Order: sequence, then C-alpha cells, then structure tokens
Amino acid sequence: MLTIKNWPPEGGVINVGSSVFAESMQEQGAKVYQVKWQPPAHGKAELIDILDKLKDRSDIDEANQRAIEIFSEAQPVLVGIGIARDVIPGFGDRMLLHAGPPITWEKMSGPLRGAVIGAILYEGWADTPEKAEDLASKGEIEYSPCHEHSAVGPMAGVVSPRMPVFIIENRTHGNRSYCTLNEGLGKVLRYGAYGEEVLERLKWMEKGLAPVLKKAIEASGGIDLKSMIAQALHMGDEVHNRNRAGTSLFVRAIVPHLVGLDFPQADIRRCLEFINSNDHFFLNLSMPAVKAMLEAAHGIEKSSVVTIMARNGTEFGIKVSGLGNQWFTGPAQVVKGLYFPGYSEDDANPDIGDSAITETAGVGGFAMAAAIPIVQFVGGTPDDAVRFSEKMYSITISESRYFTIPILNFRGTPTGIDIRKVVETGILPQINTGIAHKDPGVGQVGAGLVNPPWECFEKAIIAFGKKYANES
Amino acid sequence: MEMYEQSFYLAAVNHGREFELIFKHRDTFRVHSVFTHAINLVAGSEFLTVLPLARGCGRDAATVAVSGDFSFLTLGVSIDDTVIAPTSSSLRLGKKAVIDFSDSRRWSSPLEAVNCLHLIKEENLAVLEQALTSKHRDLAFHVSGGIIEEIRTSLLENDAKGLDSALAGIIGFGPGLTPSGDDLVLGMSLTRSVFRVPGRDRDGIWEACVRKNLGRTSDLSAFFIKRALEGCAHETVERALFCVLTGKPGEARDAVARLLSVGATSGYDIGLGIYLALDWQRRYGWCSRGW
Amino acid sequence: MFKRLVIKPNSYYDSIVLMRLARKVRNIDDVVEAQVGMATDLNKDAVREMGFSSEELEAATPNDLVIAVVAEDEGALDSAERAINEGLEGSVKREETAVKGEKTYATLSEAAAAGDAGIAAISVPGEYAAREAREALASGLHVFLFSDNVSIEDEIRLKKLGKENGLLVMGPDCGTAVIGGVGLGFANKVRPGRIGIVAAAGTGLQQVMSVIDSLGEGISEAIGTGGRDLSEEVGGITTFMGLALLESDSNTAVKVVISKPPHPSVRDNLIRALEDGSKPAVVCFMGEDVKAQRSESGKVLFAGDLEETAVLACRLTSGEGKERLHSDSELDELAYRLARTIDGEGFLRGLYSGGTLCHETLTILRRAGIDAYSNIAQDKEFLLTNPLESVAHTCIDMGEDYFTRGKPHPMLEPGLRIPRHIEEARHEDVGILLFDLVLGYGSHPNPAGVTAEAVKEARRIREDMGKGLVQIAVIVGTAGDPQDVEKQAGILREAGAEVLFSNRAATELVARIIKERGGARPCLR
Repeated sequence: MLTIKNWPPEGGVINVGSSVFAESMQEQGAKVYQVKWQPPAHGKAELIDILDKLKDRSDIDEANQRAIEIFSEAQPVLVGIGIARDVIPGFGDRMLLHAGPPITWEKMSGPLRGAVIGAILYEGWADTPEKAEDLASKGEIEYSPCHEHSAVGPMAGVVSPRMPVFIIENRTHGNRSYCTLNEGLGKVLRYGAYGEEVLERLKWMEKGLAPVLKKAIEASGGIDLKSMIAQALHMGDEVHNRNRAGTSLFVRAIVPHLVGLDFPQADIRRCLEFINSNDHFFLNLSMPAVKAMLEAAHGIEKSSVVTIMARNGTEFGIKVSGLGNQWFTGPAQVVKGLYFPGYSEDDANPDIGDSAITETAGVGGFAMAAAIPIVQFVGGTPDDAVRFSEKMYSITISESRYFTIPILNFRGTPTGIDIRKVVETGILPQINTGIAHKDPGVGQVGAGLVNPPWECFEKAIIAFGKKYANES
Repeated sequence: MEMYEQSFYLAAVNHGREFELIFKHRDTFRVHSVFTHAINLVAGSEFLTVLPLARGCGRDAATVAVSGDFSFLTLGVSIDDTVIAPTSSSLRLGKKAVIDFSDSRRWSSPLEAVNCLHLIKEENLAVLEQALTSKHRDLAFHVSGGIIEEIRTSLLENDAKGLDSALAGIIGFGPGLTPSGDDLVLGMSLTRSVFRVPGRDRDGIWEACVRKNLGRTSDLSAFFIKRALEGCAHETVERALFCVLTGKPGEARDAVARLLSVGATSGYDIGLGIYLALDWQRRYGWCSRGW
Repeated sequence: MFKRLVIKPNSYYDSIVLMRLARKVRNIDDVVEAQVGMATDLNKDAVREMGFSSEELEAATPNDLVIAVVAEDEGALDSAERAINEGLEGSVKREETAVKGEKTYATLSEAAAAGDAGIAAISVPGEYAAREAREALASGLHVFLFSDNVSIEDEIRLKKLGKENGLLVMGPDCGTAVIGGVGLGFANKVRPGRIGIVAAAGTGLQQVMSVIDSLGEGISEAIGTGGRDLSEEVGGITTFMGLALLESDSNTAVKVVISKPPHPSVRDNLIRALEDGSKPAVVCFMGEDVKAQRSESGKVLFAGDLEETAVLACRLTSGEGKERLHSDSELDELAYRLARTIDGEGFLRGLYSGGTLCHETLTILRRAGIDAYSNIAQDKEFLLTNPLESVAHTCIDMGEDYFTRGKPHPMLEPGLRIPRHIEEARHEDVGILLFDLVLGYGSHPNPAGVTAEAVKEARRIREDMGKGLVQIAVIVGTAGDPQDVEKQAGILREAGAEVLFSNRAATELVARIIKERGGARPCLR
C-alpha cells in the first residue's frame, strides 16, 4: 500500500530558481524559503561530478568533525620570545621567511621586495640597497613560506634569522607557532620600507623591546591568547583589521609583570609607549594563536577543512587538512575598499599577508558582525557587516564554542571552511584586509574586502576528488 | 522554459535603417537619457532612440512591444550605461534590459513615396492652419512673430547674414530637451527637403545658416535638426507632412492632430514650422529655390 | 533680492516636466522670477538678464540644465530649490521591483534545515534541475519541477525514488499546480471546492480551472505531472500517486484527468484505476477523438475539449445544469457578423502562448473538417517546414522550443509575440488572427496592454490596405487573478478585438466564420 507523506505539504515551500515564483507564492500567503541559486561549481560538470561523489560521505564528515574537535580543543598560550634562527624549525643560515605560498624573487611584488631588501640590510648581508637587491635576485637567499615553518607574518611577513619572534604553545596538543612583533604603522618593513628609521626601529625591537617583553611574559607564566581573542570579539574587534581591544587586553595582562622587572624605568616606559601607539600590536599575537590551533588540525586523512589561507602579494594559496603539504594557488586579488585621501585602486598592491589565517579560523572577516565599526574603513553599511558574517555559515561545517558574536545572539563564529561547500555554493571566504601601496615602503593606502581566487578551491577539490572520491 | 531572473526582455517590432549601426560595431553607444516613453542612445554625435510601439518609428529609432502605459524608467537603465550587443540581434542596456531584434522589421519612411511636387493642396494647408490656431498652448516661451518675420525677409532677400542672426535668435530658445525654436526649424527644414532633389539642388543659405547655429543647442536637438535637413524625422512628423502633401483632408486632419499632441509644445512648434515652410513655398517657392 | 543658480551637468528632463516645474516654482510665494532650461546661449542670456553671472554659468553647455531663481527672501529660495529637486527626482523615480530584504539561503539543503518546508519548487536550468530534485527528495520534500530539458532517464529515476519514499515528483516541465490552496508555477486564483485534478498539461489545466471557477465551482487540488508522465517509459507514476491522493482526500468529490493521449498500456491502467475508485471522473485526452461518452460502468466520462471537461466536472459536483461559457447561438451570431468584415482568402493565423491550447484548437478544427498547419502538428503533412512562415490556415505554439531558445516564454513576455502578430496582419490572404492570453500568478502583469498595441497596429495596417481583419482574443483567467480579467478584456475590446473566455468557443467561432465564407477549403497537397 502506497503511503504518501505529509500531504498536503505544510510548513512552506523552498523555491529554487526565479524569484518571480517566490513572490507570487508569497502573495498567496505561503511561507517561502528562497534559495539564492547559482549553478554549482560555476557550472563545471566535472566538478559537479566530484561533488556528487563526496556528498553524504560519513567518512569525510567524521574526519572533518575530528579536525574541528582538535581545533576547538587547542589552547594557544603565549609562552615567550625567542630569536628566529634559534626557535623556528628549519631556519637556514641564508634564509628569509615570507608570507603566502612559495615564491621567487622575479615574481615578488613591490612591498615584498622592499621587505626582503630591508631584511638583508638588517642582517648585514649587504650594506646598500643596490647590493642587497643584487643578493636577493641572484639566488643567494633561500626564500621559504612562514607557514612551512609553523610561523605567520602580516603583509610581506618577512622573518630574518636575528629577528625576535613570539612563541605560542598549544598547551593541548603541544605544537608551537611563531610570529614577529608588530612594528607599528607608517614606514615599516612589512610594507616594504627599508630606510634608516626602519632598520633603527628593528634594531631597537631586537635589543630593547624583545628582552623586556620576554622577561615579562616568562614572569606571567604564559598568557592565554584563546580567551583573550574570545573577549576581544565581545569588545568590537575581529582580530584581523580591528585589534584595539585585543591590544588593550594584552597591555592589561602584561603590565603587572613589566612593572616589577629589573630594567631601567625609561626602557620599560619606552616599551609600553611603543605598544600603546600601535592599535594592531595584537594582530601579531592573534595570528600565531589561531595558526597553532589550525596546524594541530592539519593532516587529518579525508578531512576537507581548509587549514591555511595566505597571500604573498602575487599569489593566494590554501592548504587542506586531508591533502598534506600541497599548496593550491591562484592569482592574489585586488582589494575593494576605501582609500586614504590621495590614493586610489591604481595605487594598490594585490592582496598580501598571512593574516588571512584569522579568517581560516573563523574570525577576522568571518566575525565582521562582531566589529561593525569596521565598515568605516572597509566600506559598506552595518547591515553589510552582519550579512557578510552570516554568509560564511554556508561554507563552514561548524560554529565555534569559544568564539561567539554577541549581535547574532552569541552564535559561534563560522568554523571549518569546507572546500566542498565553497565549490557547491560558489561562495568564497570573505576577508577583511589592509591595502598596501604597490611601491615598496609607501605603506598602507586603505582597507577593504577581498576573496581568494576561485582557482584555489577548484584545484583543491580536484585533488581531493582524485584522492578520496572512491570510498575505501 | 527558462526563467529569467529580474530582467526585462523586450521584442523590437520595427527599426529604422540607422539602428542597424549598433550591430555593425562601428561605434560604441551608451545611454544618453531615459524618459518614461523614450530611451536615447548616443555615440559621438549620432543618436538612436528606443520608443514604445504606440509612438511610431523613424530612421534612427526602434519600437518595442510594450503596453501603452509601460514606463521605461522601470527598466533599471541609467545614463552612461554602455550598450552591448551580446548577439547579432539583441542589445543589452544596463544590467537588466534586453531588446531582441530577431523579428524586427525594417521601417520605411512614408516620405520616400513622395515625388517632387508642384502643387500644394490648399485644403490641406487650411486644415493645418486651423489645427494650429485652435490648439491652446502655454505661451511662456514662444517664438516671436518678429523673429519669424526676420527669417522670412532674410530668405526673400537671400540675406545670409540676416538669416544667420535670425536663426541665432531661435535655435536653442526655450526650455525642454528640444527647445521651441529648434522644433520650428526642424519642421521647416524637413518640409524644405521634400522639395529639393539631392544632386540637382545644392545647399542654400538655409542649410548653411542652420548648420552654423547648431552649436547653440543640445547635441540631441542638433541631431534631430540635422536629420530633418536630410529629409528624415520621426514617423509622426513625417506622416503628418506626408498626409498634408498627398492625402485627403480627413487623413491630413488625423495625422496633424496626432502631431500636435506630441510633447508639451514640440508637436505644435514642428507643425508651425511645416506650415510656414509650405506657406512660403507656395508664395515664394523658397524650398525649390537656391536659398 | 536673493538669487540662486544651480547647474546640473548632462541632465535631461522632459520638456513637460521642466515647464511644469518652472510654473510651480514661479507660483511659490515671494519668488519673483524663475528660469528652468537647457543652458543654450539664448537661455543663458535670459538668465544673465535676471542678474546672474558666474564662471559656472559661462561654462555650462547646451547639454546641461540651468536653474535660476530670484526671490524676495532666502526662505523662498530654499522652497524653490526643494521644489525643483523634488520635481526632478520625482520624474525619474525608478520603481522598485525586487523583493527587498528577505532572507535567502545558499543551497536547498540549507533551506530545508532551516525550517519545516514540505515541498521544493524548482525552476533552474534543466541541466542542474535533476540534481536539485534529488537533493529535495533526500531532504524529504515533495517536488514541483518546473524546469524542462531534463532527460527521461532522470525523470524515471526521480519518480521511482520519490515513490519509494512516499514523495510526489510533479514534472519535469510541469508549469502549474495548486497544492494546499497555493498556486505553484503559473496558476490562477481559483475558488476552493470539490473537484480534484491531475494534469499533464499546464495551460490545459489553467483553462479547465478557470472555467470551473467561472461556473461557480472550485477545486480541492490540482496536481501537475509533467508532460511525459503517461508515456510508456514513465508509466504514469505521478498520475497514479495523484489519483490515489484524490481518492483518499475527503475534500474531493470528482476527479479530473487532463493529458495528451497516453500510451495504450498506461491508458488501460488509468481507466481501470478510475473505475476502481469511489468517485466519478472526467477524462480529457486532448487530441483523441472521443468514441464513447462514458466508460462501461458509467463512472468515467470522456470530454472532447477542455471547456467540456470543466462543464462535465461541475455537473458531476453540483448536479446542476452547468452550461458552456459561450452558447451556440452567441457564436452563430458573432460568426455571421464577423464573416462579413473580411474578404479574400481569409486564412486563420493562430498565435498561442499555451501549447495545450494550440493543440486543442488544431484538434477542434480538424473535427470541423478544417486542416491547419502548425509547428506542433502530429500529422507530418501539416507540419510547417519553416515555423516562421505560415501557410494557409496555421496555428503556432509560440512557447515551443524553437521560439524560446535563449528568450523568455511568451507567457512571461507577450511582447515577443507581437512582431509575428503584425507580420501576419500584413498578408492580404489572412482574414482571422487568433491569440491567447493566459493570466494568473507568474504571468506577465499586463498581457492585454501589450497585445492591444499589436491589435491596434494590425488594424491600422489593414485600414491602409483597405481590407478587413477579425482579431479574436481568448483570455484564460479568473476574477481573482492579479491582472483583473475584466480590465484585461476591456483593453482588448477597446483596441478592436473580440474577447472570449474559452478556447473551445473561440475555435468553434473561427470554424463557423471559415465555413460561413465558403466552407473549409481543402488545403493544397
């Protein structure tokens, strides 16, 4: 006997397609759920084929759950400061780390080149910019992505051997991550400046700032960055482009331990003034904190969760937990946003920096709804900020237990970007970022919104399909 | 069946010869202006117009199948939108409007059928005169009798300077996209062109002085006047002139009434231009002379 | 005196708008003088004479708008400026059409998880439709599949999967359904009642529903099945499920089935299923010649056309004498009058947006002994070699693929039919134009307004030719439809068309006219 369920169907209609029908059904009093439909996978049949094979796979879903669990349980703690060559794994003698996927000198954009030259001068490997450039371009220097060394760097993200770096330890799983200290705004190395003032500042940071902070951090027994990020999200930060609350919380946590130190008062004061004058100081802590969380979740067989999103100013690269160390790259995009007076899109460098690790972890642009004033810098309305966050739930697997967004009823941030969902919906992760001038050393010219290129996800899903399409 | 997301798909019914320019990709057109019942496109100093079917066609126009009360303002087309031809028989204006020319017919002008005339039908001219005198109009801007007299005497005396200064006094005169003065000149120019044989009749002082003064008015209005000098105008105008020249008084009355109802005063001013031109032609033969 | 000058570059406004505006501004208290116009030399002179001079004014070109106001006080200037801005903005107010601020979902599964929807309506392009339908079934939803260009293999797979899970798959190529009182796809607002319909034909269903509503009865449910459901391959899966629903539905007293003639094996099963049911049924297999009026047991009635289907169903429901919408004598009178207005060959040209209606017309004409060509002719002999060129009597389905590739369907955009309408009118040997307007949700908001322009133009053309033309409009719609059926009818009548509300009646009218003028001419073979 044939039984027909739920007839007549109550509860409403899901409309997939033209809104003409949605409107007419609403006019008749029906509840309509409108799907903003786009052809899946940009309409490419071979990708749709792969998606169909990866759909309803309990093995992949389980792997992803594991990855999310690990990420959620990770506990990043700031434990100290060390010299890059001493603490960062795999740091060669004539090596410079940089943001984004692997790149050669020929392909580097202005800010990255400038930063490389600055780093060479700082290290003393050359004494003029011309000689530095010579060295840089002739294969004398080994370039390696920060990410390949459990490190991250904002903007150009160049790390040289003698630079001091924060050390973050994931107390749950034991892995560590590293990041330089934030130099401040204006003419700084990370924007490709390499003049005297830049080098002087770097030297002071190495000799004056790092030792003081190192002692204070050690005295504190370790600073819990996870809870600091969670608090900052409740105070109007999204910990990528807005870090003022995070910086303030850090200062609050470190001051008691600075005060008792055996350093000249003037030195301690100078350190505090330096941190206070830089609203983005916390960025160089939030980035390695979430890096440590994500790296612990990398390498899970069959997991389709993205663990790295990073740009080097020329290319954008991602890594997927279940796909090992393979980078999936595409061209870095032009950032769309608001420019400081006197600058325009013509001046902008393509997207650059490891700071997209924040979005990878479900904060940054994904938590825009927690940082509504950001629209004053990146453009848009407060409604837009909420909308962007909400859209990201369509491409993630889970909602964070620890990072929540007050205005969304304390909904957890969208966590665990699933490449299958990105390809199915065509929705790309939303990143909030600063815009660098394309010429080295000019600095920030604006802030705005950008996405990774579609290519990264297309390549990733094809590789994922090759490896896992057939259930084993 | 494909459901089209929020776009307007309009079928073109007729199009003038010049409209085919857009498909020859000789120039890139963009949207010049959008009104309730018209969209003007421009490339350099060439204009094309899209109109509802009910308004009639023209050499530089195309008509689309929409209802009489349809407003082009709902199409989401803005000034400066580029006009692209995604296929060889369709145009896209802005983001949402597509015009399909695959079934559109080439429009031909009623005036093409008019042969060189020797006689002007008195009764039809009277019909035109009657219609003009009985139409009420807002006289806030009106072409003064003084200027008309100046034009008349300049023509009679073959006085280029006088004509030039008189035309300078009316081209560009009056509000609106096509000022009153322009419409008068348009009506006169179109009528005159009917009596002239290209090849045989060289341009006279009328053509020279009108062209000289076109810089005094908007690009769009100047374009319409240029076309009138060449013997082309919108269907409603051409038809009115055609009926007055060759039709029965009843036909002439209908066509003239239709003309006079166009715009705030446009139709009237054009009609007045036609009347003056015909009146002076029968009195002085000014159209067929070298003036 | 206070003065204000405003220049709006590259601004174009209607002369009527500008003149009204100037008048309005001059009427404001304490405004002494106002000038609104394009910045031609002459107009600029006039502005200068008002006492204005500035670089801005000098630089303005005839493509710019200049507004100059002189007033007794500042307040009046402000009022004037406000009035001008309102006036200019008001004239270019764009009408909002989009559904504002509604929450949308990225995928069907997201929407399914978000609430308790019971059915998915899918109208995406055919190559993606089956996948979405599969997803819907997997989420436990019934499916209304509007999309066409779905393979028959996919259709069978979907319907089998649906059946296994107790879910209905209505389609593919299902244009209309009314479920739980809500019209899906193209649907008319019909009174709720006791007649339940299962239909494989969209506009056929709409015609039957509309007539039922006009006759004062109503429907309990209208289940669409898609055009191929009663083929041998599909075997009527959705039809049988639909009939089972109507059987167990206490609101349904009478069943109706509308379709093209089914495959013989399926047909037998279908009639048997109706016989086995407890309720009387009316069946319309459009295109079939009705041999017997009733089935053996008398439970199933066979109708020869869509209007009759509705009439029979209404009679079964209320037992009253329900009659056709247009009586024989009405048609006779009309035919007599109209036949006299045309001369020459007087060929029929039918331009249809509804495929089933076109099919019905061809069927009825054939029964009347009149052969007509078509792009959807079953008989190869009468299949048009070129759908763009009519021959003798011709009826075209303008919603057919040939005409709608890359374009909207004429039900969405009736303007697309207009060029052909006018083209046909130009032919001397044409005497009758017949066309349908299908109203209801989803259809164009003013099909009569658009079509009326063609009717008027056709009349003008024929007047110039000195010939007559009969133009007949069939309106399929109900009093409750958003387009206001009476208003639509009025617009067409005013333009000069005859208006009928049943396709059967219109076709019989045409047949009468043709016969009146000398019988059905056998077409040259």
